[in-house]
Amino acid sequence: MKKYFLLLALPMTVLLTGCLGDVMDPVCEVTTFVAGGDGENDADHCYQTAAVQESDPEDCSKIQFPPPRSKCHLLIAGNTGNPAVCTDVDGGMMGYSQEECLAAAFKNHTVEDCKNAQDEAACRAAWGKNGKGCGDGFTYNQTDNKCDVKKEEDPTGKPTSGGTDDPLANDKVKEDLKSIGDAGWKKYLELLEKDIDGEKDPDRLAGLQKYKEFLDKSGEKLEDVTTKFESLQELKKIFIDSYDPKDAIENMSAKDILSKGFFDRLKDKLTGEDPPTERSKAEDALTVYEKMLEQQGDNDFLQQGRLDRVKDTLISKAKDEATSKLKEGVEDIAKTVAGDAFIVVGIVDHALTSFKDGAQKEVFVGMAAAYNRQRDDLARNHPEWTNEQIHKATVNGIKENPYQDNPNLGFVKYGNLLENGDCKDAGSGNPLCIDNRVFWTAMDKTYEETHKPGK
Amino acid sequence: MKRFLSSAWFPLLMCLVLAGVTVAAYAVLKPTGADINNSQLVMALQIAGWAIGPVAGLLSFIVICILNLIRRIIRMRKVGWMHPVTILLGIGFWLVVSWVLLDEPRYTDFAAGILDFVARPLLWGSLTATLLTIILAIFVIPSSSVRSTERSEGLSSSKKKK
Repeated sequence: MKKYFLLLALPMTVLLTGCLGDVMDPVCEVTTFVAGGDGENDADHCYQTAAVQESDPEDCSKIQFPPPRSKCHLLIAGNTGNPAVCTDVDGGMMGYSQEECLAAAFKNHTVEDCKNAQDEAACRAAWGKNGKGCGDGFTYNQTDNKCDVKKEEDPTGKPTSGGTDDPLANDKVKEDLKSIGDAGWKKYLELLEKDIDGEKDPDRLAGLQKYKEFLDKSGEKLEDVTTKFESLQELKKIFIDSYDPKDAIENMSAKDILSKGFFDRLKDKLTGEDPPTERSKAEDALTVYEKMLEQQGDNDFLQQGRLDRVKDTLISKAKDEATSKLKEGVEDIAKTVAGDAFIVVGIVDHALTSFKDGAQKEVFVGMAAAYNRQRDDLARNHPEWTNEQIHKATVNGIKENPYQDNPNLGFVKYGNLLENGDCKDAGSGNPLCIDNRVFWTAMDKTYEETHKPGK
Repeated sequence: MKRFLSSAWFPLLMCLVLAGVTVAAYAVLKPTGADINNSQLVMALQIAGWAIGPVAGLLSFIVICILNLIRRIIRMRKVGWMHPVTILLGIGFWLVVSWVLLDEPRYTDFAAGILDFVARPLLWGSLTATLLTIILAIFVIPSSSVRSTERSEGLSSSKKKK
């Protein structure tokens, strides 16, 4: 019985890897009618079609003439978001240039699309080389022109291999700084400066800089406190953790949030996917906003935990009352210094209920649809702008002219929503508000996901 | 009914369902190929759309016949539960092919055409035939177990008489 099962499973595994492009390839040897439009029925265009469908740039080499060959690379880059396929583009007089190929790769794609690429490392390196970053969990190494995996902060303070050498992790230093007096304090800050100067990871650097600022401002309050070296290292880790992008809403995938269940996929396969409308795209954006609000609520809860850890890390010989005052002072300083990293808004619940109400939801749909419309216009009028520039300009445009949007498109006006301000300012007073931290990120992520080719 | 389903009419009926539903689905869905630039390709796909149902049905029937021949050679013809399994093996292939094809991205005109003209109607036909086979198999399998029980009781009673 096992034998029969294997015999059946083998051809199925071949099929399951996707085969339409592979089937087209030998067809091109025999006939060329699968090629482009009328008048383009030649072998080059047939191979181009096969290579683009298979998203395999190596197959583009079968194309004889440069213009369709460069277009082959450009189309694959545009479909997959992989700029590494542009390295073989030779341009030529009538062909496409490498810059055009790269522009197609970056348009409506993010570096996280590299997860689907055949060579993920080369794809990320190409993004990094062009100044777009390597993505979550990676840093660009300019020396080697590749993306290295980010190292985790070691709580024992030992220097990590291949990463920044932590001068504070030296055992002799630990001995010298056993109890922080004035001289020890100065030495600690000097070493921290050294650590900051040598730090290349932007997220860790932000955490370290805020930690140093915290120490500078809270120095007076910590004078009469015996603070051990280990406690300071723990404090340092808390600050760096707060800047850790791992759970940030910016790293949430709109694709995962909007992915359909089995029965929805079956329905789409049987009847064909309905073309997306303005309303459906706006509602998708609100689905992403809702999920991001829930994640932000969890993050706020964790931030509160970290703030408690900042307070609990300090060991004081003073009496309980003094200790609690000291803790409050430290908490205020931490919040002021670290800004959003420690602010616990605690109004995510309010933001969530605000837009779920049926009547109010239409206002949100209107604003989401306006974002999509204005972003489409800006992308069309400014093809040279990056996705980040277009997103910023779109957000500014909506905030500046909320009442100028075309009123005759079946969407409710959203001007009041912007006038009411952020939910953290409105508190529980006004039910109609958005959480600015989350809303615009959700709009950006959903736009990139719903405007990919092949949709 | 059970005798009918245990006979060779069952696989023939399922192959006819596969062919018929595929053709009907093509007629109802009416793909136009409006987004395909190549008019020759559209014409070829229109022919393929009408033809895929009968071709798939015929090929499935041939495969089922071959599998039944193998069953006869290895003396498993009277094993009742193998009958719907053989049919599923012949028809299920098209279900897998159409399902996987419909996951292909629509990067090119050829891909878009194959999905709309061939894969989607074929999914309708193969899914209907597969589900029908499974539902009707519920009648076949218990009847085969009843027959084998009766046969063993008949043998034991004849032994007792002796």
